Amino acid sequence: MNPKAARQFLAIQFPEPSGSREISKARDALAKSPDLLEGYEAQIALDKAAVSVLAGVEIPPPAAGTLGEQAAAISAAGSGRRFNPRDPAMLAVAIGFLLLVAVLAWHFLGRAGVFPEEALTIAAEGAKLRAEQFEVVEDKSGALEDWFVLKGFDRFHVPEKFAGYQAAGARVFKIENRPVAVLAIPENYMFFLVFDPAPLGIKIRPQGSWQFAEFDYKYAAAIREENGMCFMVVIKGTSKDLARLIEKH
Amino acid sequence: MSLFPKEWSFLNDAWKFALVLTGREADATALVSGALSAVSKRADLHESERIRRVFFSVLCREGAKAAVTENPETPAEQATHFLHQLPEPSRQAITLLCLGAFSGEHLAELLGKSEPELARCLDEARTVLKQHLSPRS
Repeated sequence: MNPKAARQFLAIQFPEPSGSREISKARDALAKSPDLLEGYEAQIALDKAAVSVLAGVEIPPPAAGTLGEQAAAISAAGSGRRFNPRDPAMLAVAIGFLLLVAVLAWHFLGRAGVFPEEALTIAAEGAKLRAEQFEVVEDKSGALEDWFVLKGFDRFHVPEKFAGYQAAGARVFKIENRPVAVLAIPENYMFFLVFDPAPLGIKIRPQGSWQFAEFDYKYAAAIREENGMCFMVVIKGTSKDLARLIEKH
Repeated sequence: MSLFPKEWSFLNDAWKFALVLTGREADATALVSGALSAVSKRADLHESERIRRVFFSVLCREGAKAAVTENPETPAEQATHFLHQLPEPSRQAITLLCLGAFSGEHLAELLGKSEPELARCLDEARTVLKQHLSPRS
């Protein structure tokens, strides 16, 4: 900074020393020009005299009281102003809130009616099982809870309308280290699969409804969640065939 | 001790500024009161620093319309009369600078001037003030 620029900069500064780096630099630059420095010192003295005069002026108490009341009233009314919908800050908050609601709605409702991808993997694994991989059972599917408990699978449950199917084979296999109970049902060449959906991140919405999907070109699966467990029916056929089968009950 | 709510603590300086502009205590109070009313009607003002800036802008605009008065009566009017007699915009510039209400940069902005223009206004004011004040050197 040259002395002239420093003088111009200092001409618009409050006379009390602020200790800012810019002012220190400008003062140092001004020190190179004795004339300008003298002018600046005269300015400081003059400004300080004016500051002193203004500092000595007191607002008369009645005027201060009147203005104070008016200001307080504005402040009180201003608290309502914070909720002005045209306030850009409020507008931003409102838009943010709506976006949040939209994201949550998409997350919780947007997935409704969609057959979960993870469940499709389980269905495909179940459908791949060969007859010799099952243990032979000779009970109705609804009567195999104890059998599965003995195999280490708790909470085996078949919906009542599927409980009457005769099972020919049963086993437990693991997907992502989570047990899945599977029954081979000779009638209609079906598989029933039961598993806990929570550890696998599966949710069927709306709860109690059936969701359908087809896979591997020849299989169809229907799934529903009941009492915190998923029950899935897999058949060789189409979703329509499966829907008809479920409606029949 | 300020009688004003915290966010309005600048009203002390505002009143002194208004006194310099109007030359009369009663007119200064009326000017500040009018500026308060004007600011209270602005629904777009929320941030306290912006309120303060707009408030002083209103004072500058309305205060510049006040006629120069003679024969100051009260001690406050007499003490500030030498500032009141300064021509505009030097009067507003030197008063706001010496109140410490704004930095030089913000003062230039408030008065709608460049920094070199503000420096010239202030130098003009100081030239006149030299005749009224005898600062200790």
